[in-house]
Amino acid sequence: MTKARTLADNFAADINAITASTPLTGGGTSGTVTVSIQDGTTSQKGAVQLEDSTASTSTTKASTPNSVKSAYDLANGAIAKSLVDAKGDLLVGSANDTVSRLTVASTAGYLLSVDSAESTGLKWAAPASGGSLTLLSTTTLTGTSNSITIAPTGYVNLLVLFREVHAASNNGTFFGRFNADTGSNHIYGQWRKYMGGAGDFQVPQNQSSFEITNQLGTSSAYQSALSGSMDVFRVTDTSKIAFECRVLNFNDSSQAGWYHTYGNYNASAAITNLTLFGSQNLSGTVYIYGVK
Amino acid sequence: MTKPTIMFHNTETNEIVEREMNAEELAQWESDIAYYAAKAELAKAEAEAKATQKAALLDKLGITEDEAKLLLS
Repeated sequence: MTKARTLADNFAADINAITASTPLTGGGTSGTVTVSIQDGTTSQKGAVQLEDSTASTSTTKASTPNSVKSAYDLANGAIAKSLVDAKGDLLVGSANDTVSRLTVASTAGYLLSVDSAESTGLKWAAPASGGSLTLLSTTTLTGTSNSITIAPTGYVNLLVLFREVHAASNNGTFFGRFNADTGSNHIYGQWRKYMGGAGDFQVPQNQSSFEITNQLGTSSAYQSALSGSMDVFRVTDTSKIAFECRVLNFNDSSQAGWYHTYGNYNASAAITNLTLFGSQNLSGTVYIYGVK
Repeated sequence: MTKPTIMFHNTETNEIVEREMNAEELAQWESDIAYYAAKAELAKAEAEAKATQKAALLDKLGITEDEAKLLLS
């Protein structure tokens, strides 16, 4: 009786060798044959384990589509460096989740300023002027009275510097007057203290001039010179002109005095004149600066 | 006697003119000086009166100024 051939018999008869090629390993020509897949690395083909992470630093595992999507979504939401074209370009927001390029100003010194009319809400603009000083005049004081004509147009304030103002004889007083106005339009107070005398506060009063200092003189009992400064504020705004004067008197015999005068000038016109006069003849230098 | 002088400095043209004060300017200057001189005299008189009153009070109390300061400290 003939034994029927099984499927295994048929295969056994047909396969007489298994040869593995990369990434498979093993194989054989008889008996039990084992075939394996080698691990994949960056230098050889092979089996690779999936990794569902965007934080892994493995060099032998492969990313899942999920981790690739996570990385893609992150990159897709990032600002592309291709938005920048040139030196000085700025990336600014123009709307929700929208970035635009703002090119650098073509003029040196321009500053970035806010402008809601611009698509980016910003623009380059010249800095606002202000604070700069311009020397308008240098006057050498002489005689008893010195009338200095000023052109204040274009300036907000005046800065007056007194440099070593002397009186030719003792008990000298130094005064100021705006616009040659002899009406009672200088409303001022003064705090003062000089060596050998008690501190003194002069309550605000309406006068035709204002006292800058006293006790100037040539003997050792008096102060030989004063230096200091005076701000005259809003010189073209007739309703708001104010002044503040700070001077220090001194001599070489330990005499000194401090005077702080402040007030308003009830003006009917912009400041165009400052008259500085003394009870005695004066000398010294006065610088007037326009302040924008 | 020489009159006080007044100097005009036009800073726009840098023109400087110095001359004696005219009658009006002189009167204003004298008025200014007299006012401040009177004010200074008044302040001086007030200070002296205050000092005199203070000295009289201390004398009445029979103590010195330093002792008064010590009492009040």
